[in-house]
Amino acid sequence: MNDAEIRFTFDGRRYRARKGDTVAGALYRSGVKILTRSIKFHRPRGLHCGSGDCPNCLVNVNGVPNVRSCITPVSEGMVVRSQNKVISLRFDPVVLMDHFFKRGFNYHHRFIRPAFARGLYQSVIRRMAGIGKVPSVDVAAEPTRRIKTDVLIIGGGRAAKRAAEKCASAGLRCTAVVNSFQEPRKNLQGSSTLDDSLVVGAFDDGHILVSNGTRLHIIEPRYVILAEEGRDQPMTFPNWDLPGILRETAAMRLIEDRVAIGSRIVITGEATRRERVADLLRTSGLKHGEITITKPGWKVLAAYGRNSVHKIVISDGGSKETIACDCVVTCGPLAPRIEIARQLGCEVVAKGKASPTISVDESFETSRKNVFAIGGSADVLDDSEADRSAEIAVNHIISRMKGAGSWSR
Amino acid sequence: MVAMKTIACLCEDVTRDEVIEAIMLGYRDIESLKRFVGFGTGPCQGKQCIQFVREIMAEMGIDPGPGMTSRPPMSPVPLALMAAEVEGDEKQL
Amino acid sequence: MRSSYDCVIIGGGVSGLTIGYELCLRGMTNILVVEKSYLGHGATGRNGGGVRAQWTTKENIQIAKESVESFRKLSEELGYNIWFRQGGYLFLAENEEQVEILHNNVRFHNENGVGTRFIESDGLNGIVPALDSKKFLGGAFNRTDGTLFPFPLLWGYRDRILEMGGEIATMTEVQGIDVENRKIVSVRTSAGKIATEKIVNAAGEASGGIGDLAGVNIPIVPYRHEILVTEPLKPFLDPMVVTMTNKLYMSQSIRGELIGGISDPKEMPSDSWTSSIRFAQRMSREILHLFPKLGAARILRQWAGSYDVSPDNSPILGGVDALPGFFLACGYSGHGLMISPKVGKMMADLIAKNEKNPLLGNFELSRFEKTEGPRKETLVIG
Repeated sequence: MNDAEIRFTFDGRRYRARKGDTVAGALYRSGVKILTRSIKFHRPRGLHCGSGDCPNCLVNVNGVPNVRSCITPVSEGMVVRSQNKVISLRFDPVVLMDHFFKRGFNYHHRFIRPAFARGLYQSVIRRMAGIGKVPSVDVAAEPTRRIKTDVLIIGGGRAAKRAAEKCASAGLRCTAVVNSFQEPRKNLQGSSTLDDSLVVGAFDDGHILVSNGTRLHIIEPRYVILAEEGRDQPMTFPNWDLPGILRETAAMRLIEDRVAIGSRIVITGEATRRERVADLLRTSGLKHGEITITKPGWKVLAAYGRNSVHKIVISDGGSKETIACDCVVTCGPLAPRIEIARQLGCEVVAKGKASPTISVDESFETSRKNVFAIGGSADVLDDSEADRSAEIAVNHIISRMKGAGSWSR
Repeated sequence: MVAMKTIACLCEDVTRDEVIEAIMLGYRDIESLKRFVGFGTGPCQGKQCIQFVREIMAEMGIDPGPGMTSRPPMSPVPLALMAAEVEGDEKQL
Repeated sequence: MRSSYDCVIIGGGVSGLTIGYELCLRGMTNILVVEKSYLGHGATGRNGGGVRAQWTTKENIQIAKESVESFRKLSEELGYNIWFRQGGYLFLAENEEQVEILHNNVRFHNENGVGTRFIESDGLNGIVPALDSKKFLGGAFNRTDGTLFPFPLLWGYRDRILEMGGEIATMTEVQGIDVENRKIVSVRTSAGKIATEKIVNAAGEASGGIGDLAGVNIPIVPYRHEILVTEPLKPFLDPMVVTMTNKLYMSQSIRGELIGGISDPKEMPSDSWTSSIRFAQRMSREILHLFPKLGAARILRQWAGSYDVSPDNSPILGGVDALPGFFLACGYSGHGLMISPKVGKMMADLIAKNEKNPLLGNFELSRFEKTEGPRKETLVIG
């Protein structure tokens, strides 16, 4: 196998990557797990969510700050720099704050006295705040385009696919876009998919803004179908933020990109998904050393490590066990994505601490007319149910369009 | 070794303890809690922390509701991109 | 919540809470602040934190000036850091007409005790190094103007009010006001009826509706104003910058985020708080007009709030002749936060001690009935 080698630097050191690697993935393969330091306590942070949803992998790329290295492909000659560290990523003395303020630290009552020093406090804090320098590069921006469409499908999973097929066979103008890096961005047959695009947000009049990084699209849909897969939640035990603790999505992406994730790996969380990750690892051909899957009823009590995880303690409520490890994969519960629904003004309900869901009626229409939620967006996790929800929603749209007398081919 | 902390908000380094303390000070709805404690105001705009905070609130006997309002952009957009002219539109004033 | 109070303040924003605090300081502690949502849900929690004394009427300058002085001491007074940073406000002119307006402003300000200076085009980079100064013919700069973070102000007032014996009820909506023989008798809320003889209407964009409940017509029109914030950047912008052309305002917070908004001549009266693509585009273009190198800086969040606009862009304060006991603290037209300390003191003196500050006469509701009409405040931004 002769992968094209790409050369890049991180904090002045030279590294190699393979074509298709993300910046974080390539560094992980080279054994670099710490990518940044956290904002207040300068705790070590590294690749965690794998989908651009968290701040743990933010780096400066070619002068542009706050770039999510977990979803950014490496390119030849890329200059990557870490942010928010004092002295170095591996030895940052500000982490002493982490120990000094054991319960947390807020600024509400501090830096008020003496009054004459206030200007000085503010200067110092201003300089320490801010994640990146004013970016020194120009951004290539193509003109924004408008798209008028009958149906906009947001999401990339099974229900989205079924909805796109149905729309296509009914001859509806259909545009599809995903909303997160957690979903596959492959073409949904029958729709014009905005490749590599993500939803920016929902605005006045139900217009949806979409970005592919260099061009914005303003989509003016008559109907919107929210069909997103759930977002996998972090498992929040003490020190879950240590480098080496990966969410399922991050681990799967690394494996797909042919990056060995660790030599002593623990997989924990939801049962079927744990097994799936383990299987993927075992059949990947990658070096992986020992794989431990936590048994049912055993939870992680805490993780330990200096710059990355080196052991965890698990418990079943009674006994405890310590497992030495250098990688923990967490398969936390999936929560429906509700942000776009909320921006559109759709009713979202929550029962106690269960994840909020988008309210839909029996046609899978939300409380906002012409906005539908199916599949994962409607908290429908079963495959055939997801298909069914897509069919019902699209049928409804078709009959509404017929009724309105408007039909486009 | 890092100090033993359960981080509630990765972006702002807010701990679980801070969330609990703020609730005990009387910030018992999620919007006030967010502004007082700071979770959800960083780069990820609450995507990571919201569910964890809701669980903490529920454990303390408060109905957390469906979470904070969601505002665009879903992920940060460069000014240059947002400033681009719209093809076909008259020059906007 | 009790069944009667000496005074009920409707609205838990900076206006209502400051008045509540000042009333408690004057010994009037049997008060209740009623807020339909969470504290600061309205304009107080949605603005860019700007504080300036650069205005175009004597009265507005006077109350703003004294408020700036108060803000310098409020962190200590309340025990909460409000992060008041006096980095100045710089108004920028792009054509001769605007230059003349700024010169007039500078003159007027100095006549009224505010030391605004006119800065020539070649001096602008001395104040804002990153500015594309060749586009601007000059600017008006007052270095004691500044920015603060609104929420600690609310938390501070809240804690001190509660400490002094006042009460605050959030998530409580006012549904009716009972008036008998030109006297206030009670307020009906979603949590029950409260007997009281004094009400302060500090309900922001809902003040008109509260006025209707009391049978008082308050000519306030809500307009949506949008605002955005970028990711935090290392400090490069000290003052708040404002363009005279589009009334863009933008500053850099202590955390490093750029925060600001822009006027839209096409915005119609509305109580909507959704976001528009148009605003994001116009604001981005104007930011890059001033700072061409910021193209890669990224918008983190966009939101909106209401300016409760009065016919002359100046607040509506003081009592109401037709209904003694009904006090107004509204119509701030987008600049209530920055004058809240002085307004709070004046209103509390009036309500608790029946002492009317001479300045209040300029802001009373009755001014709209006068034939000549009040002088309009013109330096409204955002």
